[in-house]
Formats: sequence, structure tokens, C-alpha cells
Amino acid sequence: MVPYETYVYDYEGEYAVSPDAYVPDRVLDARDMGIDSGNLQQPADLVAGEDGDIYIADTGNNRIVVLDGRFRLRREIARFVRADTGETDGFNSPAGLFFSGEGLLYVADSKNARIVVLRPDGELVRILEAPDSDVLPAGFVYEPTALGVDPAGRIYVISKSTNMGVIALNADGQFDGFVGAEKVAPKVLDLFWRLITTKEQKLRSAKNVPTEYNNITIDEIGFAYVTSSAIDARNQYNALRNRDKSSQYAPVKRLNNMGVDVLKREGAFPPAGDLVSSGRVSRFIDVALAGHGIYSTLDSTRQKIFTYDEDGNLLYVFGGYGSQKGVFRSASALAYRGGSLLVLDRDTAKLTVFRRTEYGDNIAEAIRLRKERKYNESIEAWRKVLKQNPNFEMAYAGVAQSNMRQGEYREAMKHYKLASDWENYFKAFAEYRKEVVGRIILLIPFAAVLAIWLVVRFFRYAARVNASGWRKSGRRTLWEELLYAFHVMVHPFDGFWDLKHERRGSVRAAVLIVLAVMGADIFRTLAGGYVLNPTDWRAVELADTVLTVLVPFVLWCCANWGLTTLMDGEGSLKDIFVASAYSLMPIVVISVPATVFSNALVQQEAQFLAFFSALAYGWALLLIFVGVMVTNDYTPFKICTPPSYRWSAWDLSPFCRYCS
Amino acid sequence: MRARAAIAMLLLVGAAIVGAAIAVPGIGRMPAAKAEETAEPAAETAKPADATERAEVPMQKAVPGAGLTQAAENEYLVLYFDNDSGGIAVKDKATGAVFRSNPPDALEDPKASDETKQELMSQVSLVYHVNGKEGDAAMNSYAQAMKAEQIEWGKLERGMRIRLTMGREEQRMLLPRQMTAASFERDILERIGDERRKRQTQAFYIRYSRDDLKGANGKELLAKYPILEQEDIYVLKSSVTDRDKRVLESYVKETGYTYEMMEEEYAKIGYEGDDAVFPFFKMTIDYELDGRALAVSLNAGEIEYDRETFSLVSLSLLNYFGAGRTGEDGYILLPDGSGTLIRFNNDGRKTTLLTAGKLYGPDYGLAQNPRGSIRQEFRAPVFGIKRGDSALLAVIEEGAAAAEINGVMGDINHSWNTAYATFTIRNKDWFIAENAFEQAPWILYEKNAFEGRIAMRYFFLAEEEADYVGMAKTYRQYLVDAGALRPVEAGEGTPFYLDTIGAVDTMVRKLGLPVNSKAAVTSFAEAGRMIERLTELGVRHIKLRYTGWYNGGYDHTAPYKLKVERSLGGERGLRRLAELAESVGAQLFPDADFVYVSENRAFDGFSPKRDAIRNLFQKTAYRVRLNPASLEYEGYEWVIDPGKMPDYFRRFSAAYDGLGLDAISLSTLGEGLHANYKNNNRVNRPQAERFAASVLAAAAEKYGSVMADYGNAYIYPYADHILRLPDTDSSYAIADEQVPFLQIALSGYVRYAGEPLNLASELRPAVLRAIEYGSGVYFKLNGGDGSLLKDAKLSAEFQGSPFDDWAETAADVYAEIAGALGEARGRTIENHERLAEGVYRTTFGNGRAVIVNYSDQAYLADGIRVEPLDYAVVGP
Repeated sequence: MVPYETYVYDYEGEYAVSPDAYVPDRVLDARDMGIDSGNLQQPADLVAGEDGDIYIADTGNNRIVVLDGRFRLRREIARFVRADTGETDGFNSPAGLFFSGEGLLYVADSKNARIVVLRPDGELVRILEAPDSDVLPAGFVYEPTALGVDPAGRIYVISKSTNMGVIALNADGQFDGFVGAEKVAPKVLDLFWRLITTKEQKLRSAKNVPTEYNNITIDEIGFAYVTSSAIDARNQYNALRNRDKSSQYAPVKRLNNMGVDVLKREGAFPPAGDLVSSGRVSRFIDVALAGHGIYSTLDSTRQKIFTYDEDGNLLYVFGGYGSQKGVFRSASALAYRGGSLLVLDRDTAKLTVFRRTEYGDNIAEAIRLRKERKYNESIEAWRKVLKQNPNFEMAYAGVAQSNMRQGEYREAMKHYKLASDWENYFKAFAEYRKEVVGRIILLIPFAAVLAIWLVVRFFRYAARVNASGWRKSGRRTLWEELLYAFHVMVHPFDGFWDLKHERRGSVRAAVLIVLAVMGADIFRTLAGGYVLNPTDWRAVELADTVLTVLVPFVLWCCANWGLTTLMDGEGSLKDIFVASAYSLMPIVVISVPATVFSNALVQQEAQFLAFFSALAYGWALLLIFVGVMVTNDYTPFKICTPPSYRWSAWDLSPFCRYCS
Repeated sequence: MRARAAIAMLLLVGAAIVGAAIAVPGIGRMPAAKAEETAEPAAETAKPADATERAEVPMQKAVPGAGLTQAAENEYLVLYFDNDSGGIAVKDKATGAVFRSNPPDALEDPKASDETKQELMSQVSLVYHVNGKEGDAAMNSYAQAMKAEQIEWGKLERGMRIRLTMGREEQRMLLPRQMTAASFERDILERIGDERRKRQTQAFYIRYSRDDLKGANGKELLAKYPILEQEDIYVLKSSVTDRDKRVLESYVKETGYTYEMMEEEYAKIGYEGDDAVFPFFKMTIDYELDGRALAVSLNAGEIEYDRETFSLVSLSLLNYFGAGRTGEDGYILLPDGSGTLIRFNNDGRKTTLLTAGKLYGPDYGLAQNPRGSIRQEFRAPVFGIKRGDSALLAVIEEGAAAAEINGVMGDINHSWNTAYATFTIRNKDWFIAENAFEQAPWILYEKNAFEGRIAMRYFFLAEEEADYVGMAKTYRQYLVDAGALRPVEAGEGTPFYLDTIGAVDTMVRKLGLPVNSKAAVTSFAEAGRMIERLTELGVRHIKLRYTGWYNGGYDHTAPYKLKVERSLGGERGLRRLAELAESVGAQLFPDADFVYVSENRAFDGFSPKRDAIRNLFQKTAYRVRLNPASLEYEGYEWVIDPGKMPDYFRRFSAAYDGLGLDAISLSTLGEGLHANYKNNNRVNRPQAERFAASVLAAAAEKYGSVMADYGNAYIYPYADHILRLPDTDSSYAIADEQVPFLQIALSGYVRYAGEPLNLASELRPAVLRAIEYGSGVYFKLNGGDGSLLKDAKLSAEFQGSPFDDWAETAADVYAEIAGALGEARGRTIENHERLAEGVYRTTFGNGRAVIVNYSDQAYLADGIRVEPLDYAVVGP
């Protein structure tokens, strides 16, 4: 059986199981490979040559094992003859291999601190000794563990426990500098410390730019994929969670010739492994290139293989640990060879060969066609993928793309929504909206006039009722009390005065208004457009609403009453409650239509909503301010001045006269 | 006054804000100490072993060195008592092959340590626990019974009985703790001849003299040893280990010292004596020959031991019965998934000593061991050892629900390859309290111990029969003889299993407002159309399994009452579907879940507190699955207290009867078996098995046709169809070959299928596998497109593919498989063999044989050519 479940992450970071893209085909130990001289020892790396041969660095046995296409031993390279002296020489812990474009095998002979270049048949080409120590920083120990060579012949070397990036050597093996060290903007605090520390202290403190890479591979245009497992776990996890597209805490990078990271991180999450917890982040220790920009990384935390496309979209993840065929004890390297993926396990000294399934073929095909700009064929391939895996968001995006092309915007919206690709969803929505608006263009003026007429009618009606209420004596109806809020909205000063002194409002109406605000909040969660809330799963959390509306409101009332009482305010708790509640009316009046309106907006127009919401809250705040002032008989300065000045302030106040 | 109230109010507001700031992150966190209250002391209420009367048998002691003594004989077998190990041996008369419970020259095994040698020589090994103390201790019958001459045996009518006492029945120790100096020197020291031993003995005692009383703590000493006023005394040091005590005791014994002398001495000193207690376990094992089999039984409830002080944790029987020596040709068979063979470790490449599996899958009442990968479970209580041209198959007849099956590789810490069963008498569970002061695990033992009968049956196979096919066929015959299997009726062809999902939760916008509502993935009407379409395409014998059709659909409430989902078409729609199915010769199997509950509402007859299982720590236990991303377990459903299953079934079936259906699917009953560790409501696993069986029996009787998943062995007597019957093993690195043991055993009697073909990672090999294993055709298809399932967030598991995408493929696959296999009746698998790498031949009871080729090269033999990824039918 396949001892793992393949999965991807959806836009929200939840895992979704998917069909297996690769399944274990064979697991081979030394004897299965036809090696009689005992097991492999801690094999550290493998590469596939152009002819299909596989080269394994049998590190513990100080040899390179070469296997043919059927995984049988072709030859062993343990010794080679030096041309200069004629002596035979051997490896000491060969840890990294690279097969260069010109068909040469580069071996990072780690404990011998040199690079050995061989022909595939084991004949020595040359030996690149360690770079001169005078060009390297003091105390630097050269121990190459991984390496890559670009088409220009430049050699990139990872040396154990170097934190200055990748060592670049020119084609002659001369030191060419460090590349790929992360530039870190100094923090203010660091600058401060630098000012007050002595030179000796500065020297003692560690450099704050550690960029420790552990592996490297070079693609066909000479860019280097490097992995790093020394990033602070919390930083790496936060960068992943926050969809950080920068390279600062990225465990895999693609460095160009200048050492600048050019890896695309356009997927829902950057390529940094599992989104599980900050405690156990994925640690990438190897990269393998599958062609067409697809690359796989090997995670040593959970022994998993993550595969991404060239834009950084996650295609599939599989693997795990255990003692079954297809999972690992301590995987050390991976490589592609045609349709199969080879993974080497350091602990069990076994080679696992994974075979690509039809599902994996379909994904590879879709990506290849997209890359070759054969969009229609690519869409077909995506449809096939979708048939096998209805949970795969990327495939929906692929299909939606074709909908867009054919002008089926509603379908495109549906598929982009399934893909959780909101950016494109709104593009489709904008088109769709154009279509709809075009259809009903004649109706729009009428509808607008009608709406305005209705609103005007309502406000006139409210004004009439409020005006008649002025003269009315005795108890008012609840309806009248509620309508009075509209008067307060526009005439705050006399409005609040009458609210308190003429009993135009009431507690029951105030309670209703507060409930209406809560209702508006819930309505916003439920009925707001995708601009506000890009998901269909909307649960009403009453506790949330209570926490965001009711609790602050009650606290405000209590605090206000407490403070104003100490400052000789005249409002009772009831007065303050009623006035504050009436002040909230603009929120209801503005937020409900705004919520409805939000369904017709696209992402770029979200500022409208921000404007309306600012308007609603600003208005409400202003009303509260006036309300407090009027209810407690304060001048505008009183609210923010100490009590000793109040008499003078009182006299100067123009509002006071107005109020009374 | 007002001002004061105002200040108070302000303070209150401030406190509320601060309080909220503190409380919010802490919501939902339970103080760790809380759990402590629910824990009771682990002491088991004293319960004398209820020794049921057995016929008295004259017993005799083992005579070391006397070899085998014949105990019983029948037509096929001879049973011997092995005087050297206290175990047994069985001779197959036809071949002369002897199967010993213990390897004959185990004591000379160069690979084994002394302790391992004792293990090899034992017929019983057990693990016990001292109540109230940490850690478990182990005992084996060779060291603790045989060497202490505590094994006796007697003949029974058809076999023999072995009675053994493991450990020390004598509870006192002949080792004086305190003695007056005079008598210590006279009675003990003087009499030890060996100078070294004398000094050693003396070193373990402290001598106190009257002079010591003058010292700083003289008063304390006097209070402890009042005799010091008159005489000097020797006191055994408290630091002496149990092992040293035993050595010392042997020295004392040699001097001729007696318990009476010790009592006298204690009386003189005024010492009450020590209250050390020694563990001993007294048990009776019956071995009986029954035809070609040996039946072994032991009643766990009748094991005598001091239940107040000790708890028996687990027990294993005949661990090395029939074991194969490294170097011999052979393998062990484990019921891992469909069955797996692990060859003897002859080339030393295998480094895993033990491969173990709990029968019937995990028990969700217990914490699950972390895993980094997914595995198959052990579903059938069988294991086997093939050695040369003879083989042994063991079937656990009783106690399987408490059993674990182990495979042991030789050449690691001894030379023997074996398989055996271990029975868990008491489960234990542990947890480390979060933020606890001490990070020590807190361990609890199950109180409702398994006290039932353990019964095993060993079959001895020879020559042609001595391989996994022979073992599987023997198991099949055993099941048939036991009445557990009924042959498939005439006229039944290869079934087409169509699995479909009813309703799921989704958000639907009503008047612009999203509303959580049920949406039909496949409505009854759509299912009807699916059946019609498939029939049109030539598919016959359709068995439609319908999940998510009642009480809320996919996320369902408990089966306390039955409400057919309205969104699917309601009860009328279901009836119409059943009628339609009948008219085209299909059969409808609505699926009911009596094991798990995924949704809880008020008044739905299920309260997690009351009706769900709890773990030993009295917390609600959940069904868990391995999160493939974090590789940790996540809980997602409640597990119904197995004791309440029959009641739920009664209520559910009262309504189900009214639907007039003639079949039911009880998928989860075949998948999981879980104990309830809730105090006052304890159900252990063997008891849970009985409850599950009673529900299955009632369902089989009422509805005729029963379908279930995975096929835990207790469902065989009731199930007509088993879906998702494992057709692979776990592919352990140590395993050599995966074999269709379950398929061979069930073929011709139960109809089965593996995983849904449309969800297989590769279709073609899966189709070939179905042909090779004589499986039915199984597809999991739904109406509509797959997006509703994505919308419903059911992405933790694969839920099937759109019907329209697959209908034609499914029909083609059906035609191919049904054509290759022919009629279902009498289609037992008679032989299964590997012809070449990736090429297998299966021979069926109806005379037909199929050769399937999974490899990438054509296979050619006897004029038959099988293309890569193709098959050939041989015979009629």
C-alpha cells in the first residue's frame, strides 16, 4: 500500500487530501543493487546523469556508486589516479555530487576540503583544492558538502557551517566571493547598541546576518536553488502564515548570478513547507528539479517531499516517517530521473524509487502546456486533474482561466471562488457586473430616482412626526421615540436637550437602537459581499457581536457616568445610556445600505466601504460627544479641561445659550 | 455618596477591562488539577478468582531431563508433555513433523542472552503491575514456574491439562529482618561454611549495640529497637535489593534455619515482621486434540493471584510454538491488511525484531501511539508459521478483541522466527498534564479487566497445504465448520458496488443571507438515474450503498430516531428509489452508523457526556484520524458507548422497518471496535465485540442482506458483502510478500471488494487486482460535479467522483471484471501463486483461472501470452 496520504493546502491553509502523484515503486538496498561489498554507509547525496545513470555518494564508505537504468551496479568509484603525480587517491566523506552540463561529475570531497572533478567513467579530470586562505575570513574552515556548476563553469559551493552564503569559485577554482547572503536592515536597537559598545564587545558579539545554506542545485539557465534549515522557526513560520513573498525567512531560494533571490512566491502561501505549527516547521535539506519550472524540496522534519510549480503554487506533498516502503527514517537527498523520483535514506541506506501516477502525469502535462502557451490544451489537462481531484484549487483556477477567455464570467466567478483566487474572482466579477449593468442600464436612473424619492419621503415623514411630537404631551409611542433618533442625528444640540428634558426618547427605544446596531453588525457578517468577507462559510458568532458592540457600549456608559459624576455632570446613568444609544443611529442608517452595496463592489472599490464606515462612526462619535456635553450640561471645553476652569469656560460658551 | 458610587463604577469598569484582557486568552483552558478529581486510586476491589469447578484430574510433576511424554493421541496427531520446558509438543502422524512449544535447543542458542533463553523456554509470559507503584514487571513460565518445579500436568480425555504457578506462592521470606546478635551469630553466621558468603551476609546487616544508645540519636534507636536495652541486634539494611534478598535467603535456607525459628526470634525482639508480598500467578491451561487441530484454552478470570496487590496486565501463550530457526526456509504470516509474509531472517537484512498489530484496529478509548505514516490494521485473528514443508496456522477463537498479534524475527536477539498472540488483560493509558509541575506521565490501568476465556486453535498443515493458500483455505474451512460462512446463492454474478453520498452541509444564500443548509450531493432521484444509466450500459447486480441519507446527512446525529433527509427527496423518494432498484435487479443498502456520531443537537437522544465513550482519564474520547500534514491525530467524531448500541439499533430499526427495505449497510460496525472506560459504565473490548455482534445478528435477521466495511472478523457470520476489504498489506520494509489471505478465506462465501476503483491512484493495476482477487467492482460516484464536496469542506478524505465523468469507464471495467470472473457461486479461490515478478495466477473453484501481469513486460508460458498490465483467463 501507499503508506502516506498526498495532500495540498487550500487557500485558507487547511490540508486537502489529493490522489497520489507519486507512489513507491521499489525500495533497494545495496544487495538489490548488486553490491556485494556490504551496505551503503550514511549515503548523503545522489544525482542522475544525462544518460540515466545514477550516482550515489556513499559517504561512509568513501566511494561513489554508479547504478544503471535498472538500478544495478554499473561501477564503483573509490579511487582515481592523479595525473600530476601518478599516484592513486581517494575520497574522504564525499558528501555532495553535481552532474554538470558538459557531462562531468563534480564531487564535494568534504573531509579532504576539495572538489574532485571526474568523468562519468571515474577518470580524474582535475582537483580543485581549497581556496587560498588569505581571501577567506579568519577562522574559516572549508568543508564542501554540496555544490553546483552553472553553464558558464562557475562553481557554487556550500561549506559546512558557513553563514556567509554560498562560496562562488570561478572555473579555475579561484575564490570569487560569497553570494546569496541575506541583507538585513539593521534595527534601531542594534544601532543604539553599536553606539555604546566598545570595539572588543562588537567583535565578540556574533554577526547578525547568518545565512547558512545546506544544499544547492543549479537549473538549466544557471540559477541556483539553495535550501536553508537554520532560519529561526518562529520567523519562518510567521513568514509562511503571513503569505510573505519576500526572501528574508525563506527556506528555499533561487539565486541569480548576482546572488539575488528571484524565486516566485505567487501561490497562496510561499514555498516553505507545512503550515502546521511554529514549533516544528519544515526544514528543507535538498531540492530537485523536475523540469518546466517544477521543483521538489525535501523536508527533514517530517520526511516529506513538497512539489511546487514555477510560480510557487503547491502541487502536492507526500511522505512521512516509519518503517514502511515509501516513508523514511532520515531522508538525505532526492533526484528526478525521467518520470521517477529517487529518494535516498541515510539511516536505512536504501534508495526508494517513486513512480509518477496518471494524476501526476496530468498535472505535469497541464503545467508543461501552460508553459508552452498552449492554453486550450492546458485547460483540458486541468479538467482531467479536476476529474480526479475535485479539491484541487489550482485546477479550478486553470478552468476559470478558460471561462474568462470565452467570456463566461459567471462560470469564471464560480471557478475562481472554488479556487479561492479572489483577485481574479473580482476581475471576473467586474466583467460580469458590466454585463449586468449593460442589460439594465435604462432601469438605473429610474431605480435611483425611486430610491432617492423613498428616502426623502421617509425623512420628511420622520421630520413631520418629530415636529408634531414637540407639542405632544404625555407618553409618546415607541415609534415616535424611535423616529426621534433621526431628529437627533441632524439636530444634535436641541435634540439631546429634548431627549433628556422633554423625554422625547426612552430606554426601550434606546435598547432597540443598540440591538439594531448589533443586528447591523451581524448583517454585515452575513450579507456582506466577498469584498468584506471572502468566504461562503459565515457563522454568526453572537459572542463576537456582544464583544465588539455591546460590551464596549456598556463600558462606555458606565465609565462616562462615573467620570461625569466626579466632574459635576448632571446626567444620570439612564440619561447617558439613552443619549449614547441615540447617538449610534447613524451606524445603523449607513451600515445596512453599505452592506447591501458591498455585494456590487470589486476589491479596488473597497475604499467606498471604508469611507461609509468612517462616515458612520465619525458621525456617531460626534453625536456622542455632543450628547455627553448636552446631557451633562458641559461646555465643549469642559470635556477636556480640568474642573477649576469651568466657570470661565461656561461663561464663554456660545453653545450654552443655544442649548438652553 | 454619588461620587463614591461613581468611583466604584469606574473601578469596576477598569477591572472588567483588565479581567477581559486576562481571561480572553485563557478561555477554554481547564486547570490541570481538575482531572485529578475524577481519578480514583488504582486499587482493584478485591475479588477472589471465581474458580469454576473443573473435573479433577490426577496431576504429576514435570521430570526434568525426561524429554517428551505422550499425553494424548488421535487419528492425526499425538500430544506430548515436554518435561524439559514444561511445555508441549505435537506430532503430525502423517508426516512425522513435530511442533514444539519451545525450541528444543533454546538453552544453547548462541545469539540469546540468559533472559532470552528463559523466554524461549516458556509457554506463558506475562506482564503484571504492582498496584499503586510505577512500572510493569514481566514473568515467564520457565524461570518462574518450571525452574521452581511448579509445573504439573495431567491427562484429559482428549488432551492434557497443565497447571503452573508462576512466581512464589510462599509469601514469607526466610530472611530475618532483625535478630539478636547472639542468635544471628549462632544460627546463621556460624553455619555458613563459605568464608566469602559469610562476609557477604554480614555486610548486609547493621549491628546496633548498647553503646549506640549513648549517641546523639540514642533515643530514637531505643524507640525503634527496645531490645537494645538488653542485647545487641543485627538489622537487615533497608537498601538491600530484592535480588540480593533472594540470594541471601538461599544462604539462610542452607543453614537449616526455619520459619519457626524466625517467628520465635521476632517474638523475642518484638518485631511485627515485614509485609512484603510476592507476586504469584496460578493458572490452568487445557490442551485438547480435536481432529487435525490442537485447541488451547485458558480462562483469564480463573488465574489465581493476589488481586489486591497486583494487576495482571497482559499475557501471551505459546510464543515459540512452531517457531522456525533462522537458516531454515520459511516465513511467518501476519494478518496485516490482506495478509503479509515475512520470510525468516536468513540473510540478516532484517533489523526489526517485532512487528505487532492490535486486532480489529485501534481502540479510540486509548491514546493512539504517534505514527508518521498510515498502515493497514489486523482484521482477522489468525497467524501462521511455515517452516520447511510443514506449517502451523493459529486461530484465536475467543479473546480476539483483546489480542495483539506479533511477528518476531530471528537472528536479532535469538535464532528463532515466530508469531504469537498477546492478550491484554488490562489496558493502560498515560498522559502528561500540560503545564504540570512535574512532567512525569500519569498512568492509569483499566479497572474492567478482561476476565474471559482465551481460546486458540492450532492447525497443522503439511506439504501442499503448508503455505499461505493452505492456511487461508484451512481458515475458510474452520469458519464454514463453525457456521460462520454461508455459500453465495446461485445466480449471483459479480456485484457492482455503487457507493454514493446523500446530503452534506453547505452554505446557501437565501435572500442574500447565507444559510447553513443541507444540499444533495446525490438525491434519491439522481441515484435512481445512476442505476438506470448503469443498467443501460450493461451493468448487473448493482448494490447501491447510500450514505448520508438520514438525520442530517453526511454529518449525522445519533441513530436514536430516523429522519430521511428532506433535501434528498424524503421518505417517498427513498421508497421510489428502492422500487426502481428492485425493478432493474439492483439492491439498495442504506448505510447506518451505530459506532460514530458526527453531529450533536439538543434532544437527539445522544449526549456526548452520557453516551459517548470516555478514556481512562474520564474524558470524552474521539474518533481520530492522522492529519497527513502535521502527522498528528485529530479527533473529529464521538464514539457511541458500545453498551448503548443495541438500544440505538432497536429504536432506529423500529423506524427502518417501516421503509420496507430488504438490506442494510452497517459500514462502521465492521471497521472499529472501541471500549468504554467511563466509570460506572465500563465496557471492555471483548464485551464491546459482543454488543457489536448482537446488533449485526439482529440486523442480519431483520433485513436479510448486510453490508459492512473493512471486515473485522466478528462480522463474517452476518455480512454478505464486505467493502474496502484490505487488498494490500502495510508494505513494511521487513515484509517480503503481500498475499490475499482474507480474499482466499472469504471467497465463495462473502462477496467483497477493495477500495473504490475510481479513487485508486492508478486505475489499471486496481482493476487487475480485482480480477486477481475475485473482487466485486466498487465505485464511489456522486451526482453533480465535485465542487459541492469542496464547498462542504469534506477534504480530509476522498468522497468520490462525479458520476457523469465515470459512468462509461465504470461500465467497461465491470464488463471486463465480470467477464473474467464468471459466476459468483462456488467461486472460491483454490490456489494463488506467483509465476514471475509481478505475474500471478489465481485458480478458482469453478475451474477458471486468471493470470494477471502487473509488470512492464509481457509474460509468456504454456502458450499463453499476457501483455503488460493485462490478464488472461484460463479454463472455462
